[in-house]
Amino acid sequence: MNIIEINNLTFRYKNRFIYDNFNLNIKRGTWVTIAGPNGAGKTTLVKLLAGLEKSYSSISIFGKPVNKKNMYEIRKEIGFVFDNPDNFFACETVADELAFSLENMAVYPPTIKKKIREISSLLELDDILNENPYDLSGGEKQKVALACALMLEPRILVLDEALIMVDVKQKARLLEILKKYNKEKRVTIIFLTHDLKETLYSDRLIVLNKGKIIIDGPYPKVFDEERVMRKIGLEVPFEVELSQKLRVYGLVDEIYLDLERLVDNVWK
Amino acid sequence: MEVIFKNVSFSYNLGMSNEKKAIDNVSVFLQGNLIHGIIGPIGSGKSTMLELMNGITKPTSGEIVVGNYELTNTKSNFNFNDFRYDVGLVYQFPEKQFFCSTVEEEIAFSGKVFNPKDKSIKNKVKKALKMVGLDDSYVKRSPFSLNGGERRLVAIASILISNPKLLIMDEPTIGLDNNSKKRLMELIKNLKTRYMKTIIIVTHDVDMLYEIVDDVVVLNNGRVIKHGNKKEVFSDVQLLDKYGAPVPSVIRACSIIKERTNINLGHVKNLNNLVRTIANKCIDKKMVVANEK
Repeated sequence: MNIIEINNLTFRYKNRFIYDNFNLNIKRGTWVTIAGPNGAGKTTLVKLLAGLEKSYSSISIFGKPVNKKNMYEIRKEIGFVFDNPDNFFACETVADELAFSLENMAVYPPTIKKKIREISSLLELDDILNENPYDLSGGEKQKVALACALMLEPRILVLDEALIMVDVKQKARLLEILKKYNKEKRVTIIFLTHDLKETLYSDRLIVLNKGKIIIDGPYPKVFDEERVMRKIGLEVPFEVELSQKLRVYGLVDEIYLDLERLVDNVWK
Repeated sequence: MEVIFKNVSFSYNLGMSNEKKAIDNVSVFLQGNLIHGIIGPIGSGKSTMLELMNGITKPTSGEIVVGNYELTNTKSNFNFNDFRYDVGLVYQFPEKQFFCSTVEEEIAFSGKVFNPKDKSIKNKVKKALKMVGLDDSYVKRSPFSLNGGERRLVAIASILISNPKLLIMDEPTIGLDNNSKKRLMELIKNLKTRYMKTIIIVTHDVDMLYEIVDDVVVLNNGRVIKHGNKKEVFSDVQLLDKYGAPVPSVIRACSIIKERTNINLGHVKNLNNLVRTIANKCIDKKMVVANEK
């Protein structure tokens, strides 16, 4: 079942067309990564999904067109996390920040406390619950922003460059946690990035360039088109680039995403 | 312009119940006219160190010397305006602070902060644009009409208008696509070699760092755990792994090859160099096997 349907979307800023007759369907429970260079239209797409820009009913979420009438119902079920968490915090401690949205929805306080425990243990935030969010490092702030989105148990999670400040190790750990969450809760994840190293757990990878889908396929088969990705300025994972270059020398015959397997195959 | 940390410590919320030590007795000497990298896991004190050397926060104890300026927790004995003139800071996403309608106004704005009646401001704008590799055709364009990479360059030009001797950059490549990133890396190298600037970069992007940096400081829990030239620091994969610091992909690949095949590839500069070295080793091995037969 398609949870998001975009049909013939046309959108422009002044005279510049960002999307012209754009179509995209996303199935429930999948992890879709939308990658593209700066200016590909990724953030505009998020704004359109969130109803921050008018899409004139060419976008439907949960079968309902995104418009003023359905906005509340739709937004309740979608968690958005953006790249700059500094614009986001309103409370003095991380725990208050996590509780904020549920308190506004008049959720029973013990239920909120239980939820905070659950989410903070999931994202490993227990040590910083009493800290002021503004005293945290950039990576920690992004983890808290993600936790706030998960507090609402969204059916769709839209992450727009949401792990950009997190270091490599933490990023790998967070992606792993998110994948588990995606499988267990059947949450649809839409992951927007310009860095293809973050696509490791995707079911489907879409590459956008100037408002058009130029590559769309299951992961990791899409990396056969690595050259196109690099040509438009995307940074492909190191393993993919290394495999591709060793292929030229005839040292491997396919693309490996795991360095150890790649090395074993070169020296077999 | 060199930067010296002498037994510097810094705590957030000093004297309160939630006091947190971010920098713990750090002593380090960063030589002038080099590109320095500061790396470490999240919360290791990278950004705090950067704020300390830029005078945004004062150390709880110890002393920081930046060129001729001494930064301590007591009142400074120099004009902070001069210090700001000599030390440029490029924040994360500097382009998010744009508010002028043309590139010229945007870059001139920061120059006018130092000298509101500066008559040579137009020339300075052009010079700053030239430094970042953009031509005069950008002068009248809106900064909001530029792509991500160009916006970053304009934001850096607005810092370079005061011609600082030291440039401190916090995650300069964050959010940039590959082409823009390469352009920025060239610019940083150029600022060092052609314009003789000292550059300090705080980043997670060690693949970028490995290609351009001279020296690296590794931080963990507010302490310096390793400091030296890039070859020395990055070749100690075990230490970097132990403290959760990132390792450049090329070095990681060499370490895996050593682990699984016992072949030491030596110093590898970049991906192309790695591919050629692997190919040579494999061709050597095949010739040995053929000769033995």
